[in-house]
Amino acid sequence: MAKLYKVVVLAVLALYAAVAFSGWEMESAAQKPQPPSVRTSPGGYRSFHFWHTGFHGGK
Amino acid sequence: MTQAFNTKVASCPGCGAPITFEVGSARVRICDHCRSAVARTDRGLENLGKVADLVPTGARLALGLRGKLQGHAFRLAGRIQMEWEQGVWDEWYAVFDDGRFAWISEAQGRYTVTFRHAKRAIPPFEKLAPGQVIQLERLGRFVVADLEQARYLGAAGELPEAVPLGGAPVPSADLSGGEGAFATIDYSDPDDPQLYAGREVPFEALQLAGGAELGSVAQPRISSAQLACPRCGGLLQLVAPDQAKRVTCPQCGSLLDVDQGKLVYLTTLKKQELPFQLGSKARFFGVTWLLIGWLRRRCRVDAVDYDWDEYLLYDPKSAGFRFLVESDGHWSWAESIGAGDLEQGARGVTWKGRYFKLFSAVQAKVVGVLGEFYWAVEVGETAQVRDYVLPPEGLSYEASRAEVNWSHAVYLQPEEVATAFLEKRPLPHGPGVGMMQPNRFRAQFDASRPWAWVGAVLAIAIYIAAGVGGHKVVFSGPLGATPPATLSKSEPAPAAPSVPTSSDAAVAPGLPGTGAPATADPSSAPGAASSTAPAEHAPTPDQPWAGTIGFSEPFQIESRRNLEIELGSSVENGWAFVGGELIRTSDDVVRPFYLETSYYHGVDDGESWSEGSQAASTFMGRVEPGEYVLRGELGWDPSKTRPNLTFRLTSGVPRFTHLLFVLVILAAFPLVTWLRVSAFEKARWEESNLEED
Repeated sequence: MAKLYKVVVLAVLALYAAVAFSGWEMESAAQKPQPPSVRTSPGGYRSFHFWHTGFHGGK
Repeated sequence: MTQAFNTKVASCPGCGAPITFEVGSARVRICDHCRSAVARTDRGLENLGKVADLVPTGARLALGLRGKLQGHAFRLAGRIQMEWEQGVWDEWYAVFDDGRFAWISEAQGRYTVTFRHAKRAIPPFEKLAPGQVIQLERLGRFVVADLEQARYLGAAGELPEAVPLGGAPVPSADLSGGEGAFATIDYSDPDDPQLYAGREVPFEALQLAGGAELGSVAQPRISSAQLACPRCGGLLQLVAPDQAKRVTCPQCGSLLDVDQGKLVYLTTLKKQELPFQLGSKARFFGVTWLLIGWLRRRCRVDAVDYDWDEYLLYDPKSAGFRFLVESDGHWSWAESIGAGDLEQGARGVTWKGRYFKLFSAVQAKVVGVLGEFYWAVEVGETAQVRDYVLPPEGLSYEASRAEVNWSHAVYLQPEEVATAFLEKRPLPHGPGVGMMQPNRFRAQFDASRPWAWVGAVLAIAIYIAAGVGGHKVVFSGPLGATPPATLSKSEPAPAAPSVPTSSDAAVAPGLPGTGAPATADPSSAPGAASSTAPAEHAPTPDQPWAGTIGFSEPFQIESRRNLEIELGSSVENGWAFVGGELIRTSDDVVRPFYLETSYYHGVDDGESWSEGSQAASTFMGRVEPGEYVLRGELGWDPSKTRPNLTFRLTSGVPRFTHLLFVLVILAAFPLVTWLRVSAFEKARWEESNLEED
């Protein structure tokens, strides 16, 4: 079990180093091309969050 | 001829046979022919009377043997046999070539060498008690190991002085010092006690070689004797007849006293079934032992009886004994140790620099006996027993009226015991946790702990290195109303505020939230920070957010790292949010984000309060190098004026949450193991009859 833990430690450190130096983040919205034609469509382009957060102010 | 030896031949006054005084300092010679003790005085030879024959004790030493102790040569010139209630032992008169002499005692395969010391402040016999610590001036600290009444049984060879052979028992005290130190006080003359001090030595340290008279070194006898039970007449065999004091008859279960080869019936015991047959051989720690005895002991705690079994094992080669102890399926191997090696504490003892914690303190009673014993064991005899633990080891203290005994034990797995006895049937594992049972999770915890520390340090180093290597602010400030030129060819112009104010510099002016649409001029030119917005971006009842768009100036991201987007706002008792995108100008790839702030504060009943924050941040991962523009759309509390908003974009930000996550993962296994270690120890100490600290 202790040997397995050593392997886990090394794996976690390797993964963490990769994450830290690559700038990886856990994100739900991936990047995507958004042509200007879409952003200029009638009604106005709104970001994904604009419509889907459901936030309408505190209090 | 050395100064110690100066041979003088005379005639025995008892039988006329020639007797030889070889030791210059010897005052008594036992005649080899008639067993008379002959003393030489200034008036000539004096016959002190006949002495008893020596009884066989299985001694490895022999008269005439030469040896060397710490470089000093000696010869065994005489022998005395002493008897006390628990058995017989030998004292050998060792004369060194430099004229000194020592006594080498031999009992149960153990050897102590003591020299006579000058008179010191010695407490009287009546003032001593087993376990008492006394200070023998510069000889140091000693513990009274036993107080005994011993009598001189027999003698051979030469002796330094006349001894009261065959007389009444005389009191003596054995003392145990640290690191094998040993002393004995002879109270033959209560007004003039004699102190002999030295230490226990292994047999090999005596460096014995053949004596001129008796030939080679005496070999240990692997002998046995067959005797008839005085109760039933059945034959029983003594494995160590020289040392046996008690034996049970396998036929009738009688407990018999062994007195110089004769058996005396004492009582009849209940027969017992043992997992191993008496006489079985078992190999422990590289030595083959004979199982010669078994006894069951019992203690009572809170009106509940607890039994454990002790198996006596004998090594014919060294004539030594050990105990194999079984308590509820948990086994241990025990060997006696010197009381002087222990330092008593309030809740434990220190032995060889290690602290053993007191586990139990009970009165133990012998309730069953089988086989052969070197002491006068009796059913019903009691002793105060204390157990101390430092798993997988333990120390056991036993105190009776006249002596204290300490033993060191080490835990054995049932499989080890079965293997030692060549037992094919597996021995069951005991329920619960044994007193000395090693905590199987402890090794895992100890093995994982350094790795957890190393992992944590390396993770922190990675965190620091990642921050130092790439931490850079790529944009800071408010958004402007005008799309930068790189976007203006395609990006629609944002809406203009109906009533621009000086505070609108942060974000393109727009409508104040859902309830206050601004006036927009659909005819305004796209891209201009004008007071009007295109018709499709003008606020309407179903699109109240139109016209709140702002842009950053283009900025460069130089390395593929994460990007932190921080929003600072001036919201006061209100809220604001930004839904935005990071737009790569080269290919119009957008990455959306969302930030919100809400901040409220006030005073209620004289107490100030606040909640929320004027700041918010989010992260984007692995943002490719290139030129970017930040685009944001603002919404805010319609009952408030539009807040100021500023952005700061930082590339290559070390993530503390990631570090924390890694540290939690690294700590998980040691933490879980530690919990199991604790649970194991809790189960162990539930068996203790003492209150935990």
